[in-house]
Amino acid sequence: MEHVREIDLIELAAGRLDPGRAEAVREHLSSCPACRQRFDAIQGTWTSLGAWEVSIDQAVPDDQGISNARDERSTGSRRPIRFPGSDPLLRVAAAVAVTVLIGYVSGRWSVAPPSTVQQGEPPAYIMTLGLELGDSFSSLVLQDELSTPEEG
Amino acid sequence: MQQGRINARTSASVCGYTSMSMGNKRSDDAELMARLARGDTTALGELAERHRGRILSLSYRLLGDWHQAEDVTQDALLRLRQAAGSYAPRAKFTTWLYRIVYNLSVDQGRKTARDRVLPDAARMEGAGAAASDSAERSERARLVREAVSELSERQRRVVILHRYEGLSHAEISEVTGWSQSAVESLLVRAYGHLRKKLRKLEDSVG
Repeated sequence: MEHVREIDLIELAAGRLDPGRAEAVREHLSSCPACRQRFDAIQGTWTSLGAWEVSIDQAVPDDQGISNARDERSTGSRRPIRFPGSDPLLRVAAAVAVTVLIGYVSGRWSVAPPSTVQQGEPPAYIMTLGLELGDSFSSLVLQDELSTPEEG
Repeated sequence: MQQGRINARTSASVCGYTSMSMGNKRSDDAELMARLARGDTTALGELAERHRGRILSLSYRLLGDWHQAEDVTQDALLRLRQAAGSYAPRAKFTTWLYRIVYNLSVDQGRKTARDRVLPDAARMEGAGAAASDSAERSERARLVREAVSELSERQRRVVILHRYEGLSHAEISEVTGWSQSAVESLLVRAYGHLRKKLRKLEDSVG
């Protein structure tokens, strides 16, 4: 038998050679020191390579990939989006600013607009009643309407 | 010459996911893909749980970075969802999945221009490294990583798929798009280089 091909020795070391072929190769190795030496070297390399172990526990501790995949299924997005304002300090500042703004706007709406009645002119209903505005009627004048101009 | 069965022992046992018979898994995976195609989104979760380990380990070994590997894993799961409607179980599901992960990893590596950069030892060992790991074991792992990283890009990829993911020559050919004879040639040269590089390690191990 000719010497065994390198690729067959590699597959034999990997334990993946076809059983029939593996048997023939082993038989050859038992009678061929050169091929036996090559096989021993390959097997040593194969074993040494096993030292590079990878543990997926080092990737993410909490199955983040799977949970992200599930989130993706339900929401259609790949990952939660983090906005720049997600910093706690910025969020507090934004809350204060919004509160102040709401307070300012509410205050503006709660205050009545200034009176448009001109100074010195009595209210219309006083004139309709044919009355003269005097001190005796002052209590009837609405607060936002003009009071009697003070004389002297 | 070579059996089609994947030897899942090497990668599965160290990656924390259960080694299962590929023959039994094939119909299950195809069935899950069919369910996913019908809109059953729980099938994606099952596929993710089942294959996340192998996706992560392959992309990590190709990229050398857990964060990028995690990105590739999520992209791969997204691709599964997108391709569910057109998936036809002609080949083994895992081979099809490996092709997706491989292509995503290569693209990612090109994008970040970090194809050949392996993380430093501290990151590789990580916080999760078992306390029982001896210094000798870490040193051996480092030597192996370095030896693999010094291979040419194509040799490195076929070694990772062959030695660590347990793929056959035909499967590597399907995943990479290279001919089977090219794959075998790359494997022979790669293991030859590794033999020289690791001789020191093997001598010390005895």
